[in-house]
Amino acid sequence: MMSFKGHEGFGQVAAAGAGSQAASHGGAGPLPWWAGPQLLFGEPAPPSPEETRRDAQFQVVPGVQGTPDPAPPKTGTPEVLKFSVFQGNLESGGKGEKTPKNSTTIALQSPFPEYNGRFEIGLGQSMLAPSNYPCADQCYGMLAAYGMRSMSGGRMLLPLNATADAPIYVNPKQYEGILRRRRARAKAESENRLAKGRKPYLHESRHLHAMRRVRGTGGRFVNTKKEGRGTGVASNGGSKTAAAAPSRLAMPPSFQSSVASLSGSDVSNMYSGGLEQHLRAPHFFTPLPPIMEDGDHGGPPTRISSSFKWAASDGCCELLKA
Amino acid sequence: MADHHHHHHHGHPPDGPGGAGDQLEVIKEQDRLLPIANVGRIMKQILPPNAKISKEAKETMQECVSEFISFVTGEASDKCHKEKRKTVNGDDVCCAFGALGFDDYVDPMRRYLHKYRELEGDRAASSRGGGGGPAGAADPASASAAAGPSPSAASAGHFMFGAAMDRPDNNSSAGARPF
Repeated sequence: MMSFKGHEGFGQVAAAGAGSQAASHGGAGPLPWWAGPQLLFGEPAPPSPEETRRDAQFQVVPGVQGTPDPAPPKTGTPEVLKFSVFQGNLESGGKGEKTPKNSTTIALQSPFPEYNGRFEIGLGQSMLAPSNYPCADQCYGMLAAYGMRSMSGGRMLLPLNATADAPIYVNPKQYEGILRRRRARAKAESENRLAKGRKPYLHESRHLHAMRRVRGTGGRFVNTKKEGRGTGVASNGGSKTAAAAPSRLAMPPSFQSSVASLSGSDVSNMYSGGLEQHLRAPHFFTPLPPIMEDGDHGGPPTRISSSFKWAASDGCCELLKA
Repeated sequence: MADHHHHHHHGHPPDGPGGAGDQLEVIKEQDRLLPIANVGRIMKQILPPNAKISKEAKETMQECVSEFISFVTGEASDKCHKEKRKTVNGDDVCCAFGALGFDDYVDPMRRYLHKYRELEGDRAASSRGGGGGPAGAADPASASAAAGPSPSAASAGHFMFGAAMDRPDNNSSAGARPF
């Protein structure tokens, strides 16, 4: 959750600058869509307090704007993409040591707000879905027009949705694909085909079996196959397995907190608590009460059919390792 | 990430043509996402031995890679739809990488696909006992296509599942030889 917030904050900062440029160039309406390719080649004006006020106005009245990125990257597209992937991996892994560039942040920004918006809004997306189709047609025309001019350097403006605070610029090659994915996700949500949230476990029977197993000091399972071996390699493997098991044990309390509908800060605290428990090799009795409560609720069991054999086998491997 | 725990196990059948059996069911977590254990294993390959990965990081990466698979597969499927074809094959995925601007990925993907087809051709030849067809390149391609998603259904779910099966192999290969 914290990683998502960090991304949003950084994206907003960069997007605010872009919004300032958008405000200086013009208002909303179908005309900016066709004016976009022409404006892309113009030089952006430097930001000023007057434009900052216009940016505030832009925030109040959201609309579809066609304007170039204030600082288009001078390097070629492949290098920018490479940086995007690299920075994305680093930040996803929790390593925020390096400060990503504006273009990188803008490129990374696109999927995360969509995810948050899609998960948070249910009916709102179905209302937004019809408006996306004519917008998509206009975007397709714009993409074709833009393709005739040049296919590198510039960034295309994504249409705004209810969750975005400011316009988001993306690679023009990915523009149509992003819109397609938005429509697919909105369709899946409107048909109620998307299971929201995460369960602490996938299969009830496996969960009950794991709860019945004997646990030694530190909450780890006893009588694993790796403990029988005396080699150094096995010891290293055992260490990794031990690291994985406490993490799984630490998660159920936070999930129960999520079920209880606590506020964001409380959920964050519970997540932090979970991490601390993970670091301290959690006590044997700590995760028991929430799991028992969940057992009392009696969630519907998931059917295991032939199509899930792959996942089932992976579960077997996980159980053996734990 | 885990704010809501609403379990919608009863899906509403969609109105209109193309209502396959799978579309009537809810897309469960294990269908929509890659297995979290495999994701964690792949993430661990690039880290030092004593590094630890939080479950939140694994879940975030699970969402990212699964969305990326759907993103690329949607582009490949769109191209197949325009060309009146029902089966998405490896070449379509490679073209999709290029069309989406991931130019640095196209060459490694083509090399991987080439080696995969060679291996598949060897397996087919050994299983058939040397009774291969006259065109050596066609049989591995058809075998590769058969290994992919089901050709009968053109729903996005099938394509996503097929792409998900292909993706872990690519990641393992990426771990073996860094680009």
